[in-house]
Amino acid sequence: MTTPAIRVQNLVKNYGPVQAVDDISFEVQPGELVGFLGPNGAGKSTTMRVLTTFLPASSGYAWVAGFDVMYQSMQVRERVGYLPESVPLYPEMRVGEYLSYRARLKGVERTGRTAKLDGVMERCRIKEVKGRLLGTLSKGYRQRVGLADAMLADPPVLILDEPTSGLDPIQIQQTLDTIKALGGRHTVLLSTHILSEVEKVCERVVIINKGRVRFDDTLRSINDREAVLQVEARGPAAELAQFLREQPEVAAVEARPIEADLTAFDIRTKDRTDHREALSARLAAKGWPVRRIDLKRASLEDVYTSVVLRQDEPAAAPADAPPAPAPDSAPTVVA
Amino acid sequence: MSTTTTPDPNPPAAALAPPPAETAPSRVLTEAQTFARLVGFVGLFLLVLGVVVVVANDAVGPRWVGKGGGFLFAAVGLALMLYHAARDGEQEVRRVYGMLAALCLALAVAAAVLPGPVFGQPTSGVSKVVGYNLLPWGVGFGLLSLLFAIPFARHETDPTYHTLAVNGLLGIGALLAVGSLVAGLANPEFMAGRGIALALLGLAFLAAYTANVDTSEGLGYRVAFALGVVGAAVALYAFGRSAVPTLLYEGPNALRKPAGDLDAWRVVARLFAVAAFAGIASVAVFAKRLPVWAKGAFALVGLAGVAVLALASFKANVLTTSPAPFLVPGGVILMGLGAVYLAVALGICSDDQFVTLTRRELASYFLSPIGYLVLGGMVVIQWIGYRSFIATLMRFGQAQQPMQEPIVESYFIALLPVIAILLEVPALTMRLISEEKRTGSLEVLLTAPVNEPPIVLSKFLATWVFFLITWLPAGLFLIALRVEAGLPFDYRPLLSFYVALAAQGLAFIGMGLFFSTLTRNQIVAAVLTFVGMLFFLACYLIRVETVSVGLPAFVQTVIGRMSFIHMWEEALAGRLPLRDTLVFASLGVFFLFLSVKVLETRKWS
Repeated sequence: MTTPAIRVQNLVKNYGPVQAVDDISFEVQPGELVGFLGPNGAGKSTTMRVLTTFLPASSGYAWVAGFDVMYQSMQVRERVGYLPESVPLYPEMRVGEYLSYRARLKGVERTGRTAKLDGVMERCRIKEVKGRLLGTLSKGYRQRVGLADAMLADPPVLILDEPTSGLDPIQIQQTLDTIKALGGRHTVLLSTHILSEVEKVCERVVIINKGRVRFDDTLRSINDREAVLQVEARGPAAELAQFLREQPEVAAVEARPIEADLTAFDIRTKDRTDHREALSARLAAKGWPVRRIDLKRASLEDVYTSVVLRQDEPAAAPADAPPAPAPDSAPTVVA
Repeated sequence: MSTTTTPDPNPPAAALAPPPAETAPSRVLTEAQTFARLVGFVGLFLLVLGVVVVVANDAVGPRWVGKGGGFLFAAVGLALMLYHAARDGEQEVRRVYGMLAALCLALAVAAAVLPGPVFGQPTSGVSKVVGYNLLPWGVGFGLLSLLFAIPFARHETDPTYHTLAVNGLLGIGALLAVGSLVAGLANPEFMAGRGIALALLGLAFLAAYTANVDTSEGLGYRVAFALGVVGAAVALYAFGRSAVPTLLYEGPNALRKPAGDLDAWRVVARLFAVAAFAGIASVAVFAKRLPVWAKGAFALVGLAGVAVLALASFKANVLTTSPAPFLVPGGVILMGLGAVYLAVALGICSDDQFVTLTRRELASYFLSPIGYLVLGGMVVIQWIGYRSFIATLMRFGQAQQPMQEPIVESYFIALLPVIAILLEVPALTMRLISEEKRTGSLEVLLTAPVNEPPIVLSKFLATWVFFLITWLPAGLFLIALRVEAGLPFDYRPLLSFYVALAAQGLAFIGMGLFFSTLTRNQIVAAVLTFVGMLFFLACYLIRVETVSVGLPAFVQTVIGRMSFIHMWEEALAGRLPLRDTLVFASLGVFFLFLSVKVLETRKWS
């Protein structure tokens, strides 16, 4: 078992009476790309500040690259590249100057430093603005400079706090591409509240709300969950529902009226076969036209919404395969 | 066609989307430089006008616009032309300025080499002397040549010309910097005046060179490194040549009282010196991260010092002839210049975190308006003080009355300089840590592998150096007075004033830095620092009993001891109050310690 790149154990952080982080624990293996999701004020930035040794924890432990953040803070900082939420830069310096200053500060070797800086600027696409004052840069370019700064010393662990906040859609895509290319050699913990970004880039996701971890699993496992059949059919609602429940493949049905005689159904099947064609044929044979039949996979958004809205549920451990739900029970998120 | 609802476990590898087209940055239009060109032409006109005025005054006699006015026109004209040269990168324009730089260089060489006053007869019938025009014309033209060569090198895109300009900067800089020091070693009298000017000009050329090349490796790095080596070597040699012959000449008798028995204090001082050199040598043993040559240098210097001191303490009559005076002025200037070269080279080459931080902090004063504003304000205030000082001198001179010593007292100890220092310190220190806290860059700084002490010390050192730079014009005005008057002038009160000011600066800047660490708001930091400065002023007022607050006499004496204005008086009278210097210096250290601790408190909460 290799040393985890990041290991957090029972971390607690209070700002006076405010409990920002309330007993969280998670691990990140070397080379993983982990998304740290949560609503605003959930404790993401605080956790990152503790991990980068800027703030001390109120209690609990944290190790980065095997070093304790409290007692081996210097070693931790030598191995971490941090991009804070508001990218603070010195407005009177130029891009090239600033990165060269940060490289020296982080102890990048003198021989080959210029080539290394050029390479990082190339990867972050800031080479064109090398000579511009930092105060004159747009938000997108500031974020890229901050990202270049975090990547400068080639740290094994990168902690990025909302790296795409304030960027336009194309810049977001470019930044995510850059971050995705980092995975494997570097460990990346990136925090955001935009789910599509996490889906594009990360392998694992940790959802935190009100200072507690609510969900900690790979995206794969979410995808592997049962899919739900969505049917919209025209006909008397009660009869439709009864007919659907009688089907042998169907385990549970949930109805939602749209119009007077148009109802939407969320159907859970007993097995994993795709029953769309069979069901739609049967419905049509009974004389109820099917307006829509769709297979909706469990998405991160569903998980996120349900997890965040259920604030009283404690964090649950992930299971390997979702067990079959009891028939006719209301669909629940199988944790 | 999938028949299960499970997603495909082996999806076909999605081709990486081609990188989207680069959408930024905005197009940069080469702006038509009409305004800059207008300014340049106005500058050229003023320059010619100024030259005509000066020549007319010399040739025909005093005109309506005096020679001073002519020089003023010419200076303003040159400044405007420099602005144009910096803004306009058009090929014709920059090549013209490049040629102007070359012309100035030729004139500088001519002024240095041509004998005697070129126009007119030398005074008192002596024959014409080579290098008569070196100061001010040679150095002046050299400076102009540098100032016009810099924008030329920056804008020039043709590789041949660019290399030519950059290598020209290197060649001239190396020649001047090293040559003047070597000449100064051979002939110490050369240093005061011409030597300093040529050495500093050479340093400026070299600085311009290093700004145009990559200094982390290659030739740029080696040049900067060589500069440091030369500086260190010259400084050490000057120090040795000043100290060693005197030590060896005096021999063991230096440790004895006139009666012949051992003087305990002198023995202690000698042992202290031996311990200091042994400490230097021990750096070679204890400093792990220094490269081998640095350790060797430290060891060599330390051991040599200990050896010389030992020899001088025990063996008499090593030197029998009295050593020639070297220390003042040549030795001091050589040591100072060597130290400056070493500092510049360290700033360029060293990767040490403290050096990097200090360099950035010092540069930030010159990258944003605040440095220029404070410097400009101080120059204006000191200029006003200078004018009133000249007026006082002339009044006393016309009335044929002697002035009370110290004469320069009214120059420094007046209302304006005191107000200046009261306002300057908060202005310089208010933004030091407050701004970093407010923008969040302190977070980025502290999450790099940097500890709090280098951060605090680097800000302190940079601000302290800038503080001393703002007080330099006062000394320059006095030196200009001496050059104009042509009479000898005792520099020592001025030097001891600067030492006193430096020690006070340690306390003031330290206090300002401490208040800056306490708050995110710059105004609050500035106000707190101003209150602190008012307290120091109150010490003066209590001592002169302007403010009798009803305090017991003992307390009044103690507080009065802290009066910085009285310390200025003592320094200007020629006595350096060592005790007060140490008090202020230790106050500075105390505030620095507090600042480091305040920054560390975030780790306790």
